[in-house]
Amino acid sequence: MSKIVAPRILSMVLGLFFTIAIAQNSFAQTHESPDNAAAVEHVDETQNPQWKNAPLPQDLANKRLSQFALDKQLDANKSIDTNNSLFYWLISLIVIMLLIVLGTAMKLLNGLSKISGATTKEPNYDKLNGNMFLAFLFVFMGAILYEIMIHKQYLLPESASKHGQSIDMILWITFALTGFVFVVTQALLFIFAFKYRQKEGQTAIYYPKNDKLEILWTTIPAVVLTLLVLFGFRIWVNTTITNANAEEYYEIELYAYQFGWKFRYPGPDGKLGRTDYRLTNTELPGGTVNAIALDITDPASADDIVKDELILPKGVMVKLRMRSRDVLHAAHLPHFRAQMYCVPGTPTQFNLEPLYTTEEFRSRINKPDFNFELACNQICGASHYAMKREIKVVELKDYTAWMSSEKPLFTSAENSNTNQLTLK
Amino acid sequence: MSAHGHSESFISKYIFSQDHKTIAKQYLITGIFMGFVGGFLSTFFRLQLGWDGIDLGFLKGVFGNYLTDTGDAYTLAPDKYLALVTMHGTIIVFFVLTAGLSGTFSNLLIPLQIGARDMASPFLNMLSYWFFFVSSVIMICSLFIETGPASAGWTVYPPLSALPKAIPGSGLGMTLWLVAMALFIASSLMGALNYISTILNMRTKGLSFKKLPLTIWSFFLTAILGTLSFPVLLSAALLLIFDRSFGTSFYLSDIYIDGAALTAQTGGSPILFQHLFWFLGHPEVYIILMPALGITSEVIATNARKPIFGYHAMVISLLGISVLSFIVWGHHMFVTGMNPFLGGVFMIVTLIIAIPSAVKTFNYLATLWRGNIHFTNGMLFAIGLVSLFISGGLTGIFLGNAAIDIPLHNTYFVVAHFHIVMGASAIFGMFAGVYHWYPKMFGRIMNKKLGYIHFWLTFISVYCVFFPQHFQGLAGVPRRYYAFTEFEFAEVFIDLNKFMSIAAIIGFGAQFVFLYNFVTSMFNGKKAGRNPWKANTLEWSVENPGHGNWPAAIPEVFRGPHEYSKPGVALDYLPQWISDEDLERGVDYDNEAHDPVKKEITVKPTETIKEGE
Ligand code: HEM
Ligand SMILES: [Cu+2]
Repeated sequence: MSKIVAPRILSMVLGLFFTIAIAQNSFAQTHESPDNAAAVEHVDETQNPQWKNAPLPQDLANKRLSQFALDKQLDANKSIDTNNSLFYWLISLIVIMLLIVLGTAMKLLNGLSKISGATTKEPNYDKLNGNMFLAFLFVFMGAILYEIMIHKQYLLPESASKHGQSIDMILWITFALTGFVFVVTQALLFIFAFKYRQKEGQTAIYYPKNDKLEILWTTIPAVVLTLLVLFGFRIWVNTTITNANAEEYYEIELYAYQFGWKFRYPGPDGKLGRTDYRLTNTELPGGTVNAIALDITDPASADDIVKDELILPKGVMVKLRMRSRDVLHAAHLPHFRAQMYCVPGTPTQFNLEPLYTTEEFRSRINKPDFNFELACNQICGASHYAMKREIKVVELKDYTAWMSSEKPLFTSAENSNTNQLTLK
Repeated sequence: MSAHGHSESFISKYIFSQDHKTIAKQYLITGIFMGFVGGFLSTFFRLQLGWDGIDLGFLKGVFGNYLTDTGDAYTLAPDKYLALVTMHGTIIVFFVLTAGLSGTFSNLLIPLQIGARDMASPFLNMLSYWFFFVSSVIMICSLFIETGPASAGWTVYPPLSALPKAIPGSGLGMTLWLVAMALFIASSLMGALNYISTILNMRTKGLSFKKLPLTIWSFFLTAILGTLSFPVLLSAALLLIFDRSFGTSFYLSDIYIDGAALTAQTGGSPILFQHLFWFLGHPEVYIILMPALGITSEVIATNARKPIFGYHAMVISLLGISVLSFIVWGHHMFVTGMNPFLGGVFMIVTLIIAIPSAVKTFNYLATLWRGNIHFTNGMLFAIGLVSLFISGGLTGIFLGNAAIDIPLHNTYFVVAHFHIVMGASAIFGMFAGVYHWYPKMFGRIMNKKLGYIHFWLTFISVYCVFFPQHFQGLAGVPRRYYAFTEFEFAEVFIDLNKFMSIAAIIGFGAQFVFLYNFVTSMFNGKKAGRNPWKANTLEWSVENPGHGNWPAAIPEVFRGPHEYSKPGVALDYLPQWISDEDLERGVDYDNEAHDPVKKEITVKPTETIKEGE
């Protein structure tokens, strides 16, 4: 009796679940009325291969709105999709059958071993599991080696910024130390599991403690970690505090919004001027849209240049200032080992010094079509994964030339083309 | 009940039960259910990660609002990908690994292992479960609303979580998330207060803190962490509710969205939320891990037939971890623009916390050394936990180093780190506990062959899914990306993602072996004796504990929990309830009939106990 209870309960539970699932049909949207004009339009929009590229927030919002309107419409003339419910019944049937088969197979196995009696002994599971652990150790270590070998080429190339070189150094030191500990401890674990598995005549030793050992393996990690901390602390302070206080730097602003980036260059005066979020997307005198909320009453803002591309001068300490229009974003520049959140209302910054131009870096790593990339690394909405810009590093003189050929966002009479790189 | 012969209705016995063992089972079954929901959500989005733009039309019936019709396929919508990740994280972290794990084993084991008839407040205990239940229901319901569930990540950072215009999931979905979490926090506080007062006040005669099983130590410290940190999450959530619904601006400032500047809501700081969140968040990860470590300690000692090595060091490490876990939260915020000097300080304390973790690992290894290891299902999972704890703990040393965290923050390296050290480890601890204490819960033993299959499939697939993610992270690939198609440095891993998705699906499939085993063993599992693993702690002194646990007097405790293979003792275990006199008299405690606990029934009159009304 009790043997058939289990599958019955299971099938009841599954049945319940799938009944609910079918009932859900009536709540879920179906997108299935071809004669519905709105639906067709909607389909067209998503068919467009461009849809994956970050849309402007307004586009996105419009799209959303139209989708919601559409859902409402569809709700009105939805019907239970019988094909679909059949599908769920089928699946639940298959699952139940599988469970029953599994159960029967197990019972059969048990029965067989009972019939043949003492001749078929139960396999030695202790030995089996012990061997499995040992085998796992070798396969595991082997697989890691293999991974390292095939994925080495995918890891980031050498650091393209100065501070990044010391980050890489401490990373590899940590890698070596933890790698050593990893191999030794995993090996001990699995070898112990293999070696001391239950055996006839084996007894465990009674060894509840050894204070000397405890002290030993408290102090060794403590010393190693202290060294890592000291070393890491210095690099951290250099990267964040010392660099931020550099005497000479050049400012560029990264402005993040759903879902893209704008870059502001300081113009001839070398200063990034004031901004005010309330001015976002207002129209500037002269007709351009104030996409990044410049406050042009500040002369330092009035000559600022706003671009869609990030161009950095090589060999100069660049102070990247970050701002966000709407939600949290993070500027992630993996090739430069740089990352900082863009926080609405709280300006942040990251200082770095590019070591190579894009061209130089391409030939260093032997990849003629390589590009530095800027990514968003803090969940910010639907197109978070596509919030990308390429970064170009050029020689200082090329940078200066490029800068002076650019026009500021706001063009007033006194703005002339006398842009020059001004270091502070 | 049988001991007292008073009958209870079905409802008070199985539904609104105040019996800690029933409540434990309720927590376990709810936890397993939520685990399957969370696991299903992850296979759902792993399909997208493995095969970008894959047709998920077969899910249209239930999850239609997650899909976009692209003409010839129903693909996962990018914002719904984020919704799935968010709900997966929330469900696994809070509903499975906090409530499911702590709720089950604290409830089951605290009274049984300290020799108490029940919890200090059975009524509060019942309330705690039902708050949790309602919270689970709300959380699940939010999966099915039209605009989708909360989508701002399990960390729900505002402004994204505060602005429905930023992502549709931040509308009703987020409201339900907040309501569910508020109930959840209330539930976990009621539970934790109960655990603390029970452990402090109701230990049986002789059971000093120095003789407590490590499970109880870990539940005790976990409960303390919970009572101190969950209220902070509650306040963070309340402030977020105010910002969302009442126009305050604790977290909002200088925002322009959807064509309008939020001029009325300004002056707040999104970083404030992060401080409040991680003040809970970091202790939370230890709230999850410590019970798993406690379970592992007992399971390893029992099945290696050895005392846990360095009991005192183990307790001190747990204490150290508990204290330190309150002052390291800033390591989640190194690159948020926090004062770099403060970041430096957080880095120092963070790396200090690695020391007690290392001590625990070495002690586990020393416990296995020259043991006589019984590979029960529970033991396999306990060994698996140690391996995962090593792998994940070591990557913490990278992330705890602020300098290294600059490029690694929010990449797949972090995903690998916390799935291995927290997700997988704690799940393994939970499985170890379920296999090990199943006999105490259901009177039967789970099928061990299925248990072996379950363990090996799970262990191998966990490493296959999460180990390669370290490489992805070292290459800079960000987490929470719907697709890896846009960036050159991420694109190279597209094939690897297929591999990880396949491993994840196999791993999820393996859990059905467990489910089958769990359900069928209730009915046809091998009948368990009173002490099937020949273990020392008090719960094994009673067969099928009924209402009030011990039919006779509560046993007294005479020794520590780990006297396995003690020289001079004939058997390789020596339970806590056996006194030295018993031993001298030569009681055969291996034989249930001769056990002094049994004998007491005939000697002592049944103690009257208060019925839990
Ligand atoms: C050995 C000691 C450990 C150290 C030094 C450490 C350090 C860190 C650091 C610095 C981060 C932040 C990474 C980032 O976001 O950039 C982190 C993330 C995390 N750690 Fe650990 N960790 C350790 C152990 C643990 C343990 C034992 C657990 C859980 C039981 C855990 C769970 C987590 C979780 C859940 C996250 C990610 C949260 C998120 O961003 O979603 N860690 N860890
Ligand atoms: Cu943490």
